[in-house]
Amino acid sequence: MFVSTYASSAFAVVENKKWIDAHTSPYYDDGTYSGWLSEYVYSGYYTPAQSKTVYNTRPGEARVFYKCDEVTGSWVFDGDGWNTNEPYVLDYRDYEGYSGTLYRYLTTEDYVAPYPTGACRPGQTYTQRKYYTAYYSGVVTKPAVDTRVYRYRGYAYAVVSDPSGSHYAGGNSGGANGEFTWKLEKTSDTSESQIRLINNAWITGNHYATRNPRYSIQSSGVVSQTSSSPINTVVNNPNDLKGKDITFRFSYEYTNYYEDIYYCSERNNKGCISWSFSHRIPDWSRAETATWSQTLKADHQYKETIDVSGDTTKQLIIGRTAKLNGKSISTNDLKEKFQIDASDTTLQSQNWIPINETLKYSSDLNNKLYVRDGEKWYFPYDMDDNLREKYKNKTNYALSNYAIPLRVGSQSNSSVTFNTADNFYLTENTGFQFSLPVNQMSQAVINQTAKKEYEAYTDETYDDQVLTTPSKGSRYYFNIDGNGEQKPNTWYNNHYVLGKLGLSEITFKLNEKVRFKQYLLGSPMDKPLVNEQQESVLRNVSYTHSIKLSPDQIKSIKELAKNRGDLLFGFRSTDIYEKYNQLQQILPSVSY
Amino acid sequence: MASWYKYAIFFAIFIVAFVTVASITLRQESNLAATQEVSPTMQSAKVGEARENATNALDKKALVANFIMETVKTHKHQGEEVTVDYVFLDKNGNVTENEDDIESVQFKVNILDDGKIASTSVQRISLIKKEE
Repeated sequence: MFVSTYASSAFAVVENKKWIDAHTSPYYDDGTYSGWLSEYVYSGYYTPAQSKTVYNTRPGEARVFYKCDEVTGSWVFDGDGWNTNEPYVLDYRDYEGYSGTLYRYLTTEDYVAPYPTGACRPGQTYTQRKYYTAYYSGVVTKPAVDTRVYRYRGYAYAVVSDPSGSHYAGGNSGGANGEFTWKLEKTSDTSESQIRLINNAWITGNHYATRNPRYSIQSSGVVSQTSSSPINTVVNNPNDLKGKDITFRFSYEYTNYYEDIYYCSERNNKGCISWSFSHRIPDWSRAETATWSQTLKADHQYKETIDVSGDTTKQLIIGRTAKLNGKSISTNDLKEKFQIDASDTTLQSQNWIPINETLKYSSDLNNKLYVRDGEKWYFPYDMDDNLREKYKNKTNYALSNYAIPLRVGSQSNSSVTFNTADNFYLTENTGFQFSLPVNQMSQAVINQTAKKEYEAYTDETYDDQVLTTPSKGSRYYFNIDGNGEQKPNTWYNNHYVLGKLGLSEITFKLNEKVRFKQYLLGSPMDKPLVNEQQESVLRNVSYTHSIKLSPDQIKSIKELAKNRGDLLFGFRSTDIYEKYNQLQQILPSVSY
Repeated sequence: MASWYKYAIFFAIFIVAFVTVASITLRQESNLAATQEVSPTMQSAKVGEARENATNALDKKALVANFIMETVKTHKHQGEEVTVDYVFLDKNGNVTENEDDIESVQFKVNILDDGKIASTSVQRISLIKKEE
């Protein structure tokens, strides 16, 4: 007798049975195990009935009598003689135990003596002999032999309860990879920035089954999205989210248990004795929920204006991301970095500073540097009198009385350089300053503008030449007027407003303070860089120019000298070339 | 009393000496004033060059015209002839006509009285560049 064990693994049949052998009745029941058994030959043997076809022959002999007809003297039949007359059937029995009946199915004449012929004599007889063979056949049989003794055997089954149930499959308490992210982005070079929100977590936990993934992004009054699939959405105006918390959440249900379902595949009168595996399902009665939640602050500075001074790097938040790695969450700031040289400048004198403001850029998002239309100004402390009205500060920045518009001079993915939108030019002798749009490169136009503006400002005839070139036009020249407000060794604000830059569309307000050590030109009392000085007289010098003035000429020159034009910057004569020509008419010998 | 007289005598001698010296030098002072009041170099500076390159270059043409007009304008005496001699000098005091080399100019103004030099004023002025 064999008793099986429970089969608890999937796909098995679950039953409790034992082997019963040599049972004398077909049904077994010991109170626990029961069942119908199978009959089998316990002992003895059985030989079934057999048959075979048997063939046999028997020889036969017959005689026919003839006599001589006395009348005719010929042979006539005189009756049959004796005959063995073989039977039509034969009984058959052999040593092997076969018996049965054979039937004659053929008789053949083997020899027939000749008929009597010829004349005969009365009284003469003749016996004709015949020899033949009788053929027999038939199916003979041998009866069956059965000495068998029967018993019963087979499995007897106990009633088994339903093995369906829950099982631990192994696993952990949840895991997910992916990211929660907000970041600034642009759809084109000229578009305004927008904020992209991403919740793209995916399940990496080891579970038997998961369900109901749930993604959400919430920010009070701005975003409220919940989905069963990853969320990738956009907030068009970054300022709608500025300063707010954005809560990202991801969760899912999981179970580390499964349930094997069996059905009763065989039952007897006592109950189910065999359960077969049907299918396996997650055991959601033991479900757990794994949750990841992270609040990221949208602390960007979109479209703000930032004051900058000194040589510095400004790092602006352009996004925050939380990386999900299993159970852990690590957060990172995403920044764009502007390297700005806003250091102060000390000049020897009131000359010029280049307006060539370069900002270097890098981004954690590897985006290029965007420069959109925005405020781009340079605010000098003072300007030449003739330029003050043209560059009167009409901006919203109360940084100076004057504002010079800037332009993007050059730009790459990682830097931008701002130059003045106008080129500034000086004339060589009088130092008169004027400006033209940067795209006006014609030397003729430049010369014409110098003459036009000089004469408009001084009411004197222009007799000078333009000293500077367009390639050096992006400069600020200090106002050297003797009545100017600026003093040596005094720091003066020197503001730039540069916008809108980067994903933050930031506007930087730089103050690169500037000072000069000396006035450029002026009274010796003020210790300027260049000034008039009385030198010791050279005794033995030969004068190369000599003129003699008569009283009349002196009188004429006095008249000439009475009506002098205004001095440029308070010290530079503006009419001197016209005066020289007039002087030459009075004093033909004058030379230089 | 002797002491009082003694001081009075010294005071009188001082006054006489002062008036004498003052009268002798009056014509000379008047002439000097004529040249010292002008600042032809400042008016004649190549301001564009100075603004661009911080140089102390002079504009010869302007310098000559400005100096003559300023000299004549401040000339107080009537009916006298005046001669003006001038020479351009480089940084070593050598004569030059090259505008780029001019560091100073020396003027000599003579006031003539009946064809004779009544007074002479000589000055050399330069436009210097000096960093503090």
